[in-house]
Amino acid sequence: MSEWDVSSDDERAVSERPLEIRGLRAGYGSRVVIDGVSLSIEPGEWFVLMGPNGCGKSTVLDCVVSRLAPAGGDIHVAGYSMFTDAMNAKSQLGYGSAPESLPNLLTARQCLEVHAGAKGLDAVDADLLDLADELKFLPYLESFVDTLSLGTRQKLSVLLCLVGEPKLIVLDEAFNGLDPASALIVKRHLRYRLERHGAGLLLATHSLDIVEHYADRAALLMDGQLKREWTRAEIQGLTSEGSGLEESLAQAISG
Amino acid sequence: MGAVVVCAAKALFVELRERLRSTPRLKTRYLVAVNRAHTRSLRNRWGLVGLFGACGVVVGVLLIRRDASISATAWMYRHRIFLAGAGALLSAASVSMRRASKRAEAARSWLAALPVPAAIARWEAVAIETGPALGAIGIMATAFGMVALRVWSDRSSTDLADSWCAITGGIILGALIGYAVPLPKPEELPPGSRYVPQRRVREPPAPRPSLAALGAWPVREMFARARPKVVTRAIVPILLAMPLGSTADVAMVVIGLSAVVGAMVLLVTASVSVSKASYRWLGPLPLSGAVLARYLLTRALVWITCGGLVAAWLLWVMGKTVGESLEIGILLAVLSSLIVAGGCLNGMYRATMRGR
Repeated sequence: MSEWDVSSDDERAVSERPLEIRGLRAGYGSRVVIDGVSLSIEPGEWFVLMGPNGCGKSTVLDCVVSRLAPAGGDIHVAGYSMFTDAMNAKSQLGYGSAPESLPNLLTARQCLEVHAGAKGLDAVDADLLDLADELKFLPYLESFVDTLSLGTRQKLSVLLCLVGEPKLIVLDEAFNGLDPASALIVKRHLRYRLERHGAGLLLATHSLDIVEHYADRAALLMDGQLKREWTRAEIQGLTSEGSGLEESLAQAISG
Repeated sequence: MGAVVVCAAKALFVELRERLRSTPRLKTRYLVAVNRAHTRSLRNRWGLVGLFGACGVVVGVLLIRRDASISATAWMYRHRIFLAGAGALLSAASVSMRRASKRAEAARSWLAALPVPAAIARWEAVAIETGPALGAIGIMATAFGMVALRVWSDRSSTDLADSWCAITGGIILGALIGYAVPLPKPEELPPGSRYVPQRRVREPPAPRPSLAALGAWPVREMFARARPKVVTRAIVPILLAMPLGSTADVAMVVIGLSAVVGAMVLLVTASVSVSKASYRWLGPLPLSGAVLARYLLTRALVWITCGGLVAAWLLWVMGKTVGESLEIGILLAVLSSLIVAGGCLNGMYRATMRGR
């Protein structure tokens, strides 16, 4: 039996999990960036991926959303393999792309329509339009993307990510450029989505504030491998201690 | 003799490298060029090989066929005033535009706060602003020198020297004029969407899922690229190239034909770049490459077909036969469609091969 053969119980667990990564290896050309990363996200879980600059957080995310072909390993999104059943896997996935990769010459409304159309929806979900309203984004619906400010593009990126009630939400530094009030609205909405729809969230960030207040689990990625993981209880323990999360993270990074 | 030249060249290179140390802007440009040369992809290398190969063929023909060198020299001598004028115009425009853009760039540069003496900063700026003009003079000196080897000890050699003096003089004069004219305002380009026609709806309905908007993207990109300044700059040389005595009808048809062909070129390049961008943006969505290409390119291909037909009609108006006009129009449309399809396939391939 090979390392990745799974029993029927494991298979059931995999199908229930928003994300299951096993032995992921990836890189660019001959440079290996990720070497044997395995992680899983449970339904309703907010998972934060941390690590020093250039450690490969975005590379992991790129592999999960199939923007980068990994050299090895396996990725399952809501039970569908990203390699053998990519269409079904992608239907369960919401990815907040970087604001600069949004199409400049489409309007915000058209971006939403294209995302909803690609996911085969009959209508854009009401929850999403409510969030857009809360974020005061509705007046920008008819504006071209290239006329939007960085923060407004970031809002659009988050909205696009949530189209179609995805089982797995993948965000890369999604709160950069957002004003504090909007960031809070987005965080609360994400928490609501996780609890209501049982989705999982994979967020790459440097923000310890998010880890402290929102993360159910956090992991430290270094030298292409997951070096440490903290559960919610451990995070709360660290924040209540004098040394705190920041100190603990610095210690883990310096080895 | 050869060894002396090599030693002198080495000494000059070392001296220049030492001087570069105190000139951060020039040093940066030099290092960027060196890095580019090191990391240049295979595709770019083949491009360079092609370019140098083509130049080599031209030089080879001029060197091997003495009559070709002589006739080229005679042609340049006859048109030396025109060539000097063209050189002056291009040089003045280049220096003047580079002055504006490079000075605006320098003020925002990451090197702006470095303690560089004013005199060095000034000559550094002059070297950067006159770079293309100096490069042109260097290339011309090399090319003329090679032809001179072939037509040495001949009346043609004095013609060649006269032509070289005229053109180089024109370029130098143009560079001086570029400094004499007032500094033009640096261009702050507005967002491309300003030039995209858009229907205004008073009370837009709620967003409806649809991929139809993708079809508008390449066409909008075409409009965004056809900025008024670009169009003006393209039309002026066409008008200047019209022979004296041309009627307004002919001028209109020529301008129309140029506009159609220009629009098709812009649409083709826009479609190719939009294909690449769309695969990057929509990669994580459950959308097959074929569906994406269909929605993205159908409208652009219809526009290209219409462009080909309009070009054929304009050619017929200009006096070509129906058969010839249709042949050219169809060829134009088919060629453009093939480039768009190839660019789209290339974008898809590169997106799927990322990381492999």
